[in-house]
Amino acid sequence: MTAGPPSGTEVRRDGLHRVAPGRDALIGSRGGRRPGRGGEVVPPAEFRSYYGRAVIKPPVWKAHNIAGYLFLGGAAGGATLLAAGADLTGRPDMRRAARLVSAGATGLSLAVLIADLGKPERFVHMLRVVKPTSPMSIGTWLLSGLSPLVAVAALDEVSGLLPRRWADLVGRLARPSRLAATAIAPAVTTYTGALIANTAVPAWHGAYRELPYLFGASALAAAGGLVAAASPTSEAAPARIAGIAGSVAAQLLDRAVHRRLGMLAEPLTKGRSGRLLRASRWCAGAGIALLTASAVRRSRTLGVAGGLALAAESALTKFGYFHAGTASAADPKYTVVPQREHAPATPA
Amino acid sequence: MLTTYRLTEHHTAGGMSRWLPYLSELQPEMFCEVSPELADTAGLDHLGWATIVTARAAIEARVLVTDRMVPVRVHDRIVHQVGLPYHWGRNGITTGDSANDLTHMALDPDVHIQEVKALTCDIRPGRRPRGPDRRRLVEEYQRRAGISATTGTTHRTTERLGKSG
Amino acid sequence: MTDNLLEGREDPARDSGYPQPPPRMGFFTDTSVCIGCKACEVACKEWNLIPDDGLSLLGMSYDNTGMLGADTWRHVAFIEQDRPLGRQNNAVALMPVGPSSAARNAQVVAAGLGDQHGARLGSETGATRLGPSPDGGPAQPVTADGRTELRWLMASDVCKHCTHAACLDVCPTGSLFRTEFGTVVVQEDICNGCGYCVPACPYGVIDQRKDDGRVWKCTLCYDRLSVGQEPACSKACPTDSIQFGPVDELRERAAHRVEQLHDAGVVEARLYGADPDDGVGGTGAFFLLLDEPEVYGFPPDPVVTTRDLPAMWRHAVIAAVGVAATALAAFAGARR
Ligand code: SF4
Ligand code: SF4
Repeated sequence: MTAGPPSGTEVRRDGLHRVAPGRDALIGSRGGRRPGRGGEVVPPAEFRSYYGRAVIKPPVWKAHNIAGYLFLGGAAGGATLLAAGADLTGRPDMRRAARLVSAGATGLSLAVLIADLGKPERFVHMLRVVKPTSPMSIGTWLLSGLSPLVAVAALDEVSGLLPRRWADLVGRLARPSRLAATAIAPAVTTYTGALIANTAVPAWHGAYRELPYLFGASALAAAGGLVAAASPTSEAAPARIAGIAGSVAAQLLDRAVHRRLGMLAEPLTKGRSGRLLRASRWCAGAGIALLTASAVRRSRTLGVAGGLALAAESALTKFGYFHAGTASAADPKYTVVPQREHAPATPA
Repeated sequence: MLTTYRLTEHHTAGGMSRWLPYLSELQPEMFCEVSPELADTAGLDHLGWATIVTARAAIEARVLVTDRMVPVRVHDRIVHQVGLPYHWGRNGITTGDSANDLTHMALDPDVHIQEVKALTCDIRPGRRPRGPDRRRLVEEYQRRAGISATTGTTHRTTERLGKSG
Repeated sequence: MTDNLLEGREDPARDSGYPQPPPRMGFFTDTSVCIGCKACEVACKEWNLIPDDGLSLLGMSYDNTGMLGADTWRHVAFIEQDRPLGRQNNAVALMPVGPSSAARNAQVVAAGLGDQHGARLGSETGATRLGPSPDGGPAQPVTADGRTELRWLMASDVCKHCTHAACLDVCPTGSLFRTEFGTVVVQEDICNGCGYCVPACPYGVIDQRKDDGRVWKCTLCYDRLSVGQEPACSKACPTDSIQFGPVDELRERAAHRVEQLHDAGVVEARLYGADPDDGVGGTGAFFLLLDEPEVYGFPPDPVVTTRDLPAMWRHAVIAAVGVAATALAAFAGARR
């Protein structure tokens, strides 16, 4: 391949060839300075970095796809649970609303996930392996399992519109698929916390203990809100309760994350994330108040407004955490400073 | 004082290496290197533009301020250095002004090689003037320095050789 | 698959199921003899047919590459510092010089990177004023009491081929795999562009190529290794700053080199990545550095994210049960 005179030493599998003479050049050995004296004149900066460049690579995911999925996937999982409950407790209108929300959110989830790959046909590569070390692999299988099940459930709701043979088939599949979907759904709401925590992104990894709970709670807020908004007030009580409980829990867990992260919580409070998360708090307050009022006043309008407020809260939370992670990855401070605290001691 | 040198990334005047993407991306732009002291004195900004003027021409380059350049003391005067790589020209993937435009038509008296390692220059912030204004700028410098078409055209080598025998 | 270790000491090839793997291969990059010629960067691009990634003058000394990325698998860093190298006396000591510009330049570059901190390659940097005081007052006179020393650090960065590689662990398609040499390689026909490995790598190595969405990184020249050749970069390196070989042997050689430098008065020499008990179980490509890792753009104490994955799964499962219980309770509560 390469012509010309030999450059450096060549290392092949069978050993060393043409050892270069300069390999052990004794740099810095000339001169009279005693070792260890003179020393460091660099002023103690807050932290050092390579020209302020990021140490790790921030996620390449597009916010509207992946943060969007964090929200939609949660809503899908939560709504699937509410659909099962509505079915078992004889609330046909709420069941229809929940099933449609769940099928819609699941469909959109798949769509944004596939869109983020750039080339949709490459999605099938996800199905080559099942890898427990990759929450994305497990999540893909969960979602791939959930989609046909919630689709059957949604078709069951509109079976009147289907040809006879199809309607029969859907009717027979409805019950087993509901059971399976209910089993899968809770995991769909929480695994996304593990998904983003399982990275080197400081603000995400640092909160790996809280994120699954936070995302699960936020999913209930979203699903409860959407289903409450789409069901008649008389049947929507469980959706309202689930939504309010999820919302309260999510706000408490958000506090817990701030405490856990310490200086790493800064990206959650500053800039775009700060604005999104503050807005999510307002939505939570408004949603809880409106839903409570709708229950007391039996008002559908208040219920719709409150439900949508809770869904907005969930979306804002997910986008806020998404952007905070990206910001924490883009600034070397958040990688260097916490690691420095337990990094090996500096020689000299 | 101006001095020119080569970079490992480019070959001679860059006529070949400026056409190679892998080499061009490593040194993508004509620059001049100045000490922090000269940057302060002349008002130059790291990564900003500077115009370098000699008796022959004016070129522009991006500024790199670096501790590797140091002012030198010659008798009682502080002389600043401007370092210029000579790899740029008007064609290739990366283009820029040519340091060779600045240099004089003189040979090193000892080895008779083009003398490009030490010449006097001025450096000022900003990009160079375009079109005829560029020539006017150089002419202005020439007038102030009293340089004419005959300045520096005497061949001294034979004289010196004659004297020393 | 055999037992799936997520941390600690490990023989990566054997634990990935190769019954009789050849010795683990890697790089020892001794930055103390790097001359910054960038031969490694170019040789890598030539051999692996990597596209160029744009012309941008970054103002980071002679580094116009910036960082590793999809189209840069070797990156030579340049750091100018106003401190001596070992016992060296610098001629600068006699010159009439003022304060160093190194720190100010770094600020200028960082400020030009904007919000994204140069997170992606080739980000253009703007100029920030360094010159005389902004009020247009007189320029600072040249003083003779400022910087007297200078050292110019150069280091060729590369994928670390971690013992516990986060990129490989999180890859949902199995595109990233462990070779028989213990290295980590992307199969470009399997990668589907999900981008999960990108933020998972604790060193910021692997990155997505904008136009095709797939990720790319150093393969430790898997193709060359397979036919008994050494990688292109180490072959091109004229000073043997990049040394290739069995990792065990390289670690011995590196330890010896640190001793040698300490004896020569270069007390700041230290190894980075050579410790099999560090957060990633030691790296297959490790370094001899002359300053703290973060100065070269390395994380000071990286930990593979999947070390905490069992705990994450535990929390996710408990949280899922919690979500189901809350939903159940909501229906129970509504019935009252
Ligand atoms: S350095 Fe990053 S890209 Fe390389 S093996 Fe380790 S985790 Fe993977
Ligand atoms: S080839 Fe060797 S000497 Fe040249 S820049 Fe790369 S590591 Fe340094």
